Amino acid sequence: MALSRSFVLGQHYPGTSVVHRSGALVKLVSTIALMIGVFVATKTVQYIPILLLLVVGIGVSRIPLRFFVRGLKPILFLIVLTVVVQIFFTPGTPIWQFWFVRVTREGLGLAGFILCRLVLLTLVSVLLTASTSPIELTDAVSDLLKPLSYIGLPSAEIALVMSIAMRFVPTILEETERIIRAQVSRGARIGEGNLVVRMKSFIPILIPLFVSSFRRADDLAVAMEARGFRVGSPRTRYHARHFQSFDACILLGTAAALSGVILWRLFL
Amino acid sequence: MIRLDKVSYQIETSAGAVQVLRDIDLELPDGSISAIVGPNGSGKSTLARLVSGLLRPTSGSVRLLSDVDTQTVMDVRPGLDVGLVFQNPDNQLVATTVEDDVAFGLENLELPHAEMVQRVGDALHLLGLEQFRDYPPHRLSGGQKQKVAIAGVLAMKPSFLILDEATSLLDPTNRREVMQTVLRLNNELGIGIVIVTHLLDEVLVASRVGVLANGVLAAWDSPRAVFSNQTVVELGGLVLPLSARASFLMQERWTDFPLCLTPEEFARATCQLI
Repeated sequence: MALSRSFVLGQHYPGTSVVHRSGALVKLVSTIALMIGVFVATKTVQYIPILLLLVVGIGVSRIPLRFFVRGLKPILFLIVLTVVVQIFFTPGTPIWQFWFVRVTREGLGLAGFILCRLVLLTLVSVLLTASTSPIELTDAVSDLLKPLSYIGLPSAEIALVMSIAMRFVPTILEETERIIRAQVSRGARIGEGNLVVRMKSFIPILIPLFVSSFRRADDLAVAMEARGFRVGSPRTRYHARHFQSFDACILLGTAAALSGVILWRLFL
Repeated sequence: MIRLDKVSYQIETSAGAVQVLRDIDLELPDGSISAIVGPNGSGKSTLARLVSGLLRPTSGSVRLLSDVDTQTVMDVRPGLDVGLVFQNPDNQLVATTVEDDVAFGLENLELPHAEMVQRVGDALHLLGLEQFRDYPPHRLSGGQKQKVAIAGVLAMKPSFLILDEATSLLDPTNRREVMQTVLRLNNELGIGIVIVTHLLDEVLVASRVGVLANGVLAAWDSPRAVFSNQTVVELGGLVLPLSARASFLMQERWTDFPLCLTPEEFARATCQLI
């Protein structure tokens, strides 16, 4: 269970707040719009409208702040690496220099900008996945992809595959831990030695994991068929939901934030 | 009633055709409890899939016959007429919460929302799973997961429920709990039960036991008749319940000692002997 507990990104945090009760499709569209806004911005200050909306969203969702902080942990290495590279390798006006190592004003600015970009992208994603159950999220993806079904894209099946993948993440993690324990008990040294040795040590874990996953997939396909599932056949939805007033508020807030970023970039 | 007439099933392999089942004749009356036993590879699971409509026989027929109107004869539709519960609960739960998983089959049946809500609620209530409605499956015990699988099948309102070694991965406590639940469903709702197992203690509740050996139905009789037939027991590779084995040992000394299938029967017979 230790492995499964360490990933917050993608985990649902059940609740009854307005953000939780909002439509998954609305939240998904808002998240995509905010992510576009994050990439549209060219200066750190232009992130302010998105940051304000995010702060309001996190506050209203009543999800503890530490949940979001934990969500940043998996990408901490990426953040540090990117920031360090920007600080030390961006050409510009030097403000500190030792031998060939040089910190520039432009490097610091760019590092701050990238840092904000990565943090905002992560926090927006965590807010979406924490406030939306996986099944609602996959339904939303299905709805979003629905227009593409007219050109032959199996949107409902894609959504179901995503849902099943999410359902099996904890199961596969438990299976991985079981295999690691089994191999360690037989004398395997996992994660020890240099990089090549460490990579090789994962082979005895990956092979049984793949074998059991294929077997599991086979069993699951039969079980789904036994419950009346047919690929391409129409299905009804258990989670029926109508557009609410707070859905409109979220969309308006997102439109305002995105417009703010675009206008700031164009005119200020 | 489900009727199997001369059902055979063969699969094509690189080494040629392999006959998995041969000329199976069976009748499963509505509301009855039946059991299928046999060694590994005898064709038990294939038979379960044929009865549930998941597989089509190579020859012969598997049909659902209506008791009310004997003219009504139809092929078995998977999930709708016969529900199938598999061995490993982890590999049959599809959704991320208990409630959504129970609704999965209903979504496939294209039922209206209100009816789905009603059926999901009823199934969770019947299985005593209301408090786990929002739980993700991985947070449940093996027995609870298997109950969720049964609830998912039950919500589709099948007339038969097949348990394909559904308790073999569970500990004794969970196994007993699942079996008690299944018997209660048979008793209260009149659902026909087919237990496919190699645990002979579980088949004692069945009115009829079928013994499969090398793809052939070697016996189709009451548990007592099947267990007392030494040829069938050896052919099916059956390891009889402890009480039955003890009874045979007693019969070596007291020839009129009865065949006892449960510890209670054995204790009673021993007391009478004393």
